[in-house]
Amino acid sequence: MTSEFVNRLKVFRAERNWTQADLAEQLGVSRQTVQALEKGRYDPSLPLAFRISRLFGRPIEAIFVQ
Amino acid sequence: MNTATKTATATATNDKKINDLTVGLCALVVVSSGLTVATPFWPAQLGSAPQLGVVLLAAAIAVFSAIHSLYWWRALDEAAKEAHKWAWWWGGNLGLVVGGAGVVAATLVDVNLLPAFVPHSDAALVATGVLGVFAAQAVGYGVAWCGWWMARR
Repeated sequence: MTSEFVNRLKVFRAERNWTQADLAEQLGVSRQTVQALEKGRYDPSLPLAFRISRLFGRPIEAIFVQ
Repeated sequence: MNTATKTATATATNDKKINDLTVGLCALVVVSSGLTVATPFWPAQLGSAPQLGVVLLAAAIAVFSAIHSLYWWRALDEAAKEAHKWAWWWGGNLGLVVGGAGVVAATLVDVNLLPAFVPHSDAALVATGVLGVFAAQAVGYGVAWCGWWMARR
């Protein structure tokens, strides 16, 4: 169930003082989806990964690390 | 336009379509209630023809449900869609197999699945079997859907 990637979503979100709901709204997904992403229990699609990348202004490989 | 704005616009458009559809259905309910003439071209072997308004309304509800489902599906995010697809395949199919086996087993050991107040007929038995399997499929779907999200909390 756990992803083979480690992600830094929670770190980047905390840096901006966003709640999971804030991030979910920005990405156009549900809070449950953000929670699953942060826990590494759901791997985003490529379009969602790019949206995350654009939102945080970081390359995808800086957010999702194998 | 940023992602949040795009998402909000898409959601608003989707909501407007659903609202328009609902208003259209409500208007059809009013119109249908006035159409009391018998449905034309009704096959004689199906018995007496129902009111035209009833047939139109039934058809409209079917179309409304299908379109509403489409908009509902489009509004879901990718994880929610994945949960439904997973639940549909695993929960639905396992429920179907278990429910089907249950109905067949009940038939083989002569368990009477029909409630006492239902007139016993072949049609009633078939309907009970279909509904039983469908209920098992729905339960399997629900359990699998909950399981998918619970595993990702």
